[in-house]
Amino acid sequence: MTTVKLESSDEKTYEVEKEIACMSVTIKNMLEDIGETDAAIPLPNVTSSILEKVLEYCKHHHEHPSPQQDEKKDEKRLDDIPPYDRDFCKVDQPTLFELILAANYLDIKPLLDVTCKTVANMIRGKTPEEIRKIFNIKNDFTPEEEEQIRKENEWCEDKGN
Amino acid sequence: MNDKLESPRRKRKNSITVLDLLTYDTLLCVFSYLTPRELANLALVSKETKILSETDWLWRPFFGELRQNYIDKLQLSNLYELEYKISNFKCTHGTAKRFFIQESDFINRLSPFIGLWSEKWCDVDVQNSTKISYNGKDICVEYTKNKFAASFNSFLENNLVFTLNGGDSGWSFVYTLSCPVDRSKPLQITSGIENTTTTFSQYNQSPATDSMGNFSKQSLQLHVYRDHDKVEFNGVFIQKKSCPPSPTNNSFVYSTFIPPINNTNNINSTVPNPPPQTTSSNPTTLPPVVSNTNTNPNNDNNNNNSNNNTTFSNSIYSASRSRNSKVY
Repeated sequence: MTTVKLESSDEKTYEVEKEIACMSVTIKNMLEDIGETDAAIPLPNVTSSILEKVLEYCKHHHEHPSPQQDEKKDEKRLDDIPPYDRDFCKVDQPTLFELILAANYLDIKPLLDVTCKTVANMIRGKTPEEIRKIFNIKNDFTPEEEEQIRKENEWCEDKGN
Repeated sequence: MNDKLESPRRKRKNSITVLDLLTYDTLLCVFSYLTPRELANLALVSKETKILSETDWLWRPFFGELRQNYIDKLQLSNLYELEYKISNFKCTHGTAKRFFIQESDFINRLSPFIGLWSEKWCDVDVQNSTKISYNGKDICVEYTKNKFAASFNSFLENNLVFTLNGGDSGWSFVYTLSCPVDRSKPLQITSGIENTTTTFSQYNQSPATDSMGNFSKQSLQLHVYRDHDKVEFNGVFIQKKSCPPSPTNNSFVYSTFIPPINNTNNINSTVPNPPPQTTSSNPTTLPPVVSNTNTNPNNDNNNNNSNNNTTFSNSIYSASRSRNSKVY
């Protein structure tokens, strides 16, 4: 069993099976570029706590590979998150956002998809005011601007068409 | 240090939000799972979400939905015009959203009018008299009965107006079809005739209504203005649920319909020389209109109906206007 060492931004080192580490396209490309090495691969954009979560996710999916799906089919569905992934994403917002950033940086598409879907689900069906509350966003529109945008978006109000 | 931490967005003194924590590309990745309505809703949250939610990259994938709606809702078999517009689409921020909204609005407003309609007004009751279609560029109105020629006038808000003239009488009628903005609420029958300048007959039958007196969802409100004596009528256009116009039928329309070069002229698509119009008001050859003093349903209209089968193939008159030439 070949292993590789990964180093988080807070300088913690993790020894991981190469196959698991290579679920990250970024790490896979790095390993291809530098060849066999005992040195730890630095991951300056990922903290140890997040890297541990990412490795936990990769390990689970390495051991329980999900069946290949037609990528084009229902690619944008939000209700198809597997139970493990759903539970995995039950974390506080900062952690969820850090996971998105890590998945994006490490180029782990399944993790990026599931974390983005989780956030999208938090937006789905909410009013602008509810979205502001959930994500702590300040309404910086003037009442006139808000009215103007409402007019522009009138088409999306359900008219029973 | 993480580049993200260096960004100006992070240097705000306000509390950290999702917009500060996530990069633009990851935010776009999240938003790519939202529907057009949800993206439009997001534009109301803040200035930053408005800019992000209007990114063309998020809206271009919905053009596939537009294509499908053109096929499903407008029963359009030829997407050449839409493809032309999309291929010539100039990508600048927000234009894809505007294009999607503009086209979606047009599809939603026009789709209730598309199909083969029967008309009931006064004691006129003509089955499958009017075919309304869209060929990607023009709205086409065909009157399939009684040697009348239909001429599309305008499509504004939720009203479609066309003129019927010809027949043996040479009379002219302006038909205004109205669709309720909220299709989930059935039309209420309006009583009487508006702004009648002379006597009138009231549409008093309700074959397309339920026990509450509501029009069915497959109905359009009809207002008819008879030009020569300036009499107005109210009625209804009805589309049978059991036999909706099939794409096959529509492909027939598109294959035979040729928009006129001169938009002011009607076209007889099958007869090279339309029958001459006369000013005669011979009661046996009246158009499908009953004068306000004639309330017998078993008169000219039924005669017209009896002629339908024989005159159909020889009396397809159609007319259109360029979509760009009229207010839509």
